[in-house]
Amino acid sequence: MSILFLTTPEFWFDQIVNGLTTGSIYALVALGYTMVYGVLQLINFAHGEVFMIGAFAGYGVLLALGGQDISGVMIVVALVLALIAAGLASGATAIAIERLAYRPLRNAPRLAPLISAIGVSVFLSHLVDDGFLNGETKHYDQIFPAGKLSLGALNVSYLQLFLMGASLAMMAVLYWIIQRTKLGRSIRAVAESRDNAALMGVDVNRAIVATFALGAIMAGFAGVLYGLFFSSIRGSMGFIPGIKAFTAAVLGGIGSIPGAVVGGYFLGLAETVGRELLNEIPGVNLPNEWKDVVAFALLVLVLIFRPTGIFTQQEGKRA
Amino acid sequence: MAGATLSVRGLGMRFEGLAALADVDIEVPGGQIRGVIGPNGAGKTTLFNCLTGFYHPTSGEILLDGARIDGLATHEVSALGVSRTFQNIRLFANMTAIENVLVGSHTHITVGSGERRAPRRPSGHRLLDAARKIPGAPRAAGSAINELAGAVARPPAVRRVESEATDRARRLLQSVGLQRRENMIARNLPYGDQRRLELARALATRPRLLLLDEPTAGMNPQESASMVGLIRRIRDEFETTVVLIEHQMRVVMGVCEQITVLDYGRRIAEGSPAEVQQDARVVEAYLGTRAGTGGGHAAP
Repeated sequence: MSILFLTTPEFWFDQIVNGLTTGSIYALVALGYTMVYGVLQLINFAHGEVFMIGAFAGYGVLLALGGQDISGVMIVVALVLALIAAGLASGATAIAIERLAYRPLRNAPRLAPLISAIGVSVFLSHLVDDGFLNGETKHYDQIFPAGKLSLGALNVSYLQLFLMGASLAMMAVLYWIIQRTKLGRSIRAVAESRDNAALMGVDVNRAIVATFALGAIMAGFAGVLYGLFFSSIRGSMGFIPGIKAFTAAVLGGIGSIPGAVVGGYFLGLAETVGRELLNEIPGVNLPNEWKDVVAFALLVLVLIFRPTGIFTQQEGKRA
Repeated sequence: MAGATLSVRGLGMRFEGLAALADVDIEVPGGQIRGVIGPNGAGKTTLFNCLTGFYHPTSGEILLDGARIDGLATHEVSALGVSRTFQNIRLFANMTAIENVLVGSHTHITVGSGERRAPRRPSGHRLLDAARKIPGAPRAAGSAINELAGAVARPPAVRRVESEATDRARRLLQSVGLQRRENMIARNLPYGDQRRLELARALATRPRLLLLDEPTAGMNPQESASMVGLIRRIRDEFETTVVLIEHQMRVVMGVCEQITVLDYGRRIAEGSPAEVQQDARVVEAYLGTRAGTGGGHAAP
């Protein structure tokens, strides 16, 4: 592929870093889709709005702490508080959604909670956009220190480093909770068999609520990271990242936790690096917006050819 | 303490006009090993499903040491000390052996306060409490948050209780002979070991009433004989009442102290193995032409 040398190595490293950055956000959000699917076989289409709520909670905290004027060690304090607030707000939102919109339909035909989920999604995004903001877009203050780390052809901004590092740390903690704690065991037990888990004394409702809460906390964190990186936030902001994260979960095999993470990074890379690779073909020039086309084309292809995910065994093993 | 007394009174279970159980009375004194036999479709598994709260009976009552347990949710019945195994093994197939047992210990690991619940002695009061919780509305959210906090913060008390639970799970694996299989994924275990693991998991809930649905199904005669020994040992060591459904007559006659015979959802006979074998109705309904041969499976 000598054609690749028409563009510089710096360019490709940039694309990879950008891909991993957005991939981190997709991975964090995808975890919530895959975990809820694991225990309830429900696609929680309101999850993108849970992510949006987290972004606004973080925005509110940063604004309250002084917005643009936050500096020095206060940046660390503000970021930690913003993440905590986002986790709490998103967690509370998801718990309320589960209680009000899904649990009453637990034994209804599978289409009913799915439609309920779509309803909640539309309701929340319009509530924020039309009810509170009058269609206005808010902007995260750029408090994160500018500057970048350069290693030869590789350039990574400090913000991107923070974003990737924080995502990995959050996912590691989640993985540890799922694999090593009593709570995680009960979630996995319910995912394998709800009846069987109840017979062993597991409080199934509690495990389901905890699943929603854990996934939502990850989405809330992702909302803050998204705001810090892309700045503009609005009520409908959760829609596209939500569907992208759902795509990531499907890529990795929905129901699988490691699959959601791998799928998130894969999708992030595919829509940046993948698009630029297509642009290397003479006569092809896809502008940035085409990244959505690449992502959703992948979703359709995977659903047709490997509906259990591209990284899983054919049976589509659960988390 | 020798296991719980089980009283089933006038139990009925109807499915859209079909009576799977009708007016069944069973009294099992604490510590007994009771067999439940009967042809296929007699209602044996339906009885187990009622006893574990998986079905809510349409009539009659179920009492554990004199307190009603019918109508409670499955996990509440489990918390009161009723545990079971399945005819077709139902392990958490993707978890390790020890994780399966640890799930069974869950009601006894209380994260948050870090205290183990006192051994259960159902009083009317406690049951009332449990019954009140059934709608379980915001409570689940509250305790889930509490548990989340406990899982992340892990105060020393939580860690201590978890490590005690792990020690106990190891001992349970040992008592069913699986000490070397601790970290194997359940679905990779040989068949006989899966049965043993299911038994260990059932024991982890600290049952005072253990329900075994065909514990020797699919086993060869040697394995069956060793399972019979294991069931007796478990009754003595864990001080539990045992009710078992079984088709292999050799097992039923060898391990059960009393036998209840069901046919078409009704109790048609009850007594010692010898008495039941002589009972004309039983011979007609169930043992049929195989009466007295004392071996092998009943006709499928």
